[in-house]
Amino acid sequence: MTFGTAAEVSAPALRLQGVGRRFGALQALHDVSMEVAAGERRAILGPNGAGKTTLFNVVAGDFLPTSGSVELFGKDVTSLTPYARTRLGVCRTYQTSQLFMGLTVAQSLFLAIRGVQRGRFDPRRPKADDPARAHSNEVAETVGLTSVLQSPVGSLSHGQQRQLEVGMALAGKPRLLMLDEPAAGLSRTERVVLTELLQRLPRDITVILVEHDMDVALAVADRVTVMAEGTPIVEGNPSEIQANRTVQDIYLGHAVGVHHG
Amino acid sequence: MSWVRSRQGIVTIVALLILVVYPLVMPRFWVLSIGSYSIILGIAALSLVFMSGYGGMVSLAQAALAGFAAYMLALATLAPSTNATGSAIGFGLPALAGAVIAVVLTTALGALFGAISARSYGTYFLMLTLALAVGFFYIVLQNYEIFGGHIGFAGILGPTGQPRANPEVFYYICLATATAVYLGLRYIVRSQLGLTFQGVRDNPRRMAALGYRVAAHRIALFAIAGFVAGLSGVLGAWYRGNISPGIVDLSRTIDVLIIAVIGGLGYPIGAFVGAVVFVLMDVFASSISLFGFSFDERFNTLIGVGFVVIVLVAPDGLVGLANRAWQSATHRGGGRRRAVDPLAAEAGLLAAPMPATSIAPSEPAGDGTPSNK
Ligand SMILES: Nc1ncnc2c1ncn2[C@@H]1O[C@H](COP(=O)(O)OP(=O)(O)OP(=O)(O)O)[C@@H](O)[C@H]1O
Ligand SMILES: [Mg+2]
Repeated sequence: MTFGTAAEVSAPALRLQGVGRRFGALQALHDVSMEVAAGERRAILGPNGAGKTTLFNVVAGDFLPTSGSVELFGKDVTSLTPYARTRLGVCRTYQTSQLFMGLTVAQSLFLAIRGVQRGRFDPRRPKADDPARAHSNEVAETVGLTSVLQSPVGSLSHGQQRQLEVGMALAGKPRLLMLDEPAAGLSRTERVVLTELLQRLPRDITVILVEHDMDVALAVADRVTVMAEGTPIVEGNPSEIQANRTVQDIYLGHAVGVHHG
Repeated sequence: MSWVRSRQGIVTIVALLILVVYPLVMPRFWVLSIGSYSIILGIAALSLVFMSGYGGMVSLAQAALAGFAAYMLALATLAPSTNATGSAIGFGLPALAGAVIAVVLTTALGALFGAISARSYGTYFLMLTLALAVGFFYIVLQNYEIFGGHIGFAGILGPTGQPRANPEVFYYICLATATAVYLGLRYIVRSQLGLTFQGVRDNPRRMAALGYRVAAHRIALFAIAGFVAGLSGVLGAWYRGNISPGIVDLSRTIDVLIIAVIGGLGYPIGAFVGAVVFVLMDVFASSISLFGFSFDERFNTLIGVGFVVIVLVAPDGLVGLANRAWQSATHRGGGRRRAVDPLAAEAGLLAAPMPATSIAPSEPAGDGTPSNK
C-alpha cells in the first residue's frame, strides 16, 4: 500500500461541497460545505434531526447525496460504494449498534481487520499465528473487551456493545474515523474511559465525532461544527462555540439545561 | 482427542458405525430405497440448510439446481440419440467425467442464480429463487431438443453401473459423498470465507462498512450451495437411472424445504434427519394405500400433517427438539451439563447448532437512529 503523492497527503481528509440529501419531501441535508483537515478532531453538534447521521451516511456511502460532491483524501468519491470508501480508509460507528449478533467478539474484530486486507474469500481457517489474530487481541485490549473475546456478541452488555462498535471501526486501520454518538447510553465511568481512548488515538487518524455529551465532545475536539436543520451554521474552536450566542440559543441552551437538571 | 469422550464425540462415532454397518445387515430395499435415497435428499436439503443457517438466505432454487445437475449428467454421459427425441445431443462420456462436468456447471449456475438474487433479502429473495426454480422447470419442459420434453432421459448409469446391481457399493458412494460434504462445510464455517457469510447473515450493512462486497460473498455462498445441490443431483440421477421434468417441478422444491424444516433449519445434521423421516413417511404411506386412498394423496396428507405438527411443536425441527430434550434431561440429572464451550461444540460433528433462522430473515438493518434524548 502506498501513501499517495504529496498533494494527497496535504489534502483535507474530508471535503464536502454543496452536499444535499433529500428523503421524498424532506430535505435532510442542504448545501453542506465543509473541510476537515488531515489529523483534525472535529465534533459535529446539533439538535435531534439536524442531519448529523445523514451526513455520516452520505460520507460513508450508505446514501448518495442528491446534490453536491464528497471528497476523501483529495479523491472524489461522490458515487463510490461504501466498501470502496472503507478500503480508502474511512471507518465508522453507528448511532444504533450494527453488530454481528451470531458471532463472538473475536470473530467480529477478525472480520473487521480482514475487511480491508486481501484474502477476503480465503476458504481456509486462519492459522494460530495469523497476524490478524494478534491484531484483534490488541484492538480488544484497546477498547477493553479482552475478558469477553470469546463471548457471543449477543451476550454483551449495552456498554460492551458500544465498545465493540468502536473496536470494529478501529480494527479497519482508519485514516478517517467517524463516530456517531459513541457515548450514547454509556455510564459516567464508561464515558470517561471512552474519552481517554479517543484522546489517545494517534494523530495520523482524523476523527469526526457526533456527540450530544458536551463533556466527551469538547474534551476531544479541536474544532466544532454546529448543524441545524440540515446545514452547518457555525464552525469554530470549542471555546468560541461555547461563547456563541446563536449556538446557545439553538442548541447548547437546552443541552446544558438537560445536563444540569 | 478429548472430544472422542464428549457426548458429541460418542454420538458421532456410534452414528457413523451404524451407518457403515447398515447396508451389511439390512435388506436391499432398505439399503437403496431408504438409505441411499435419504442420503441423496439429505444432501439437497443440506445445501439449503447451509445457505439459510450461515448466510440467512432461504433459497427455493436448490431442487432446481440438483435437477440441472442431473440433466447435465445425462447429456454428458448418454450416447448420442439415446434420448427420447432421438436428437444427437449426448456426449457419451464416462460416468465420473460426466459427474465432474455436471457439478462444475451447477456450481456456475448457482453463482448465476446468486448474481441475480444477491441484492434481495428476506421474502424478496425467497420469491426470486422460487421464480428461478419455476423458470428452469419451464425451460426444461419447453426445450424438447435439449431436455427431452416430458419424457426426459433413461438409461443413466453410475460408475458402478445400475445401483440395483450393487446396492451396498452405491450406498457407500452416497455415504462417502455426504460425509465429505458435511465435513467440508463444517470446515468452511470457521474459515475466513465462512465468517464473511455469517457476517453477511447478521448484518450486511456493517459488512459493507467493513470493506466487503456483500453481493460477491452472497454469490460465493450460492455457488457453494450449488456445488452441494449438484452432488445430490448427480447421485439422484444415478439412483433413478432416468430423469424427467418431474425432478425439477415445484413439488421437489417443496420437498427440500419440508425436509430442511422437519430436521431443523438451524442444524446441518437436521437435513439428513429430516430426509430419513420424509422417506420413511413416503414408504409408510404407500404401505397403507390399501384403504382405497391413492398413494400420492395419502403421502401428501401425512407429510403435510407431520410438517404442521413439527412447525408448531418444534420450530427448530427434530434435531432442535432432541437437543432441548437432552439438555433438560441432563440438567435435571444434576451437574452433568457442560458449560457452553464453543471449541467443544465445534469439535463435535453432530448436532452443533447455528443461530436460529426463520423462513424470512430480516432485511439489512436500517439506521433507525432513535434519539437518546
Ligand atoms: N432513511 C431515511 N429516510 C427518511 N428520512 C430520514 C432517513 N434518515 C434520516 N431521515 C430524516 O432526516 C432528518 C435528519 O435525520 P438524522 O438522523 O440525520 O438526524 P441527527 O442529526 O442524526 O439526529 P439525532 O441527534 O436524533 O441522531 C430527520 O428528519 C430524519 O427523520
Ligand atoms: Mg443521529
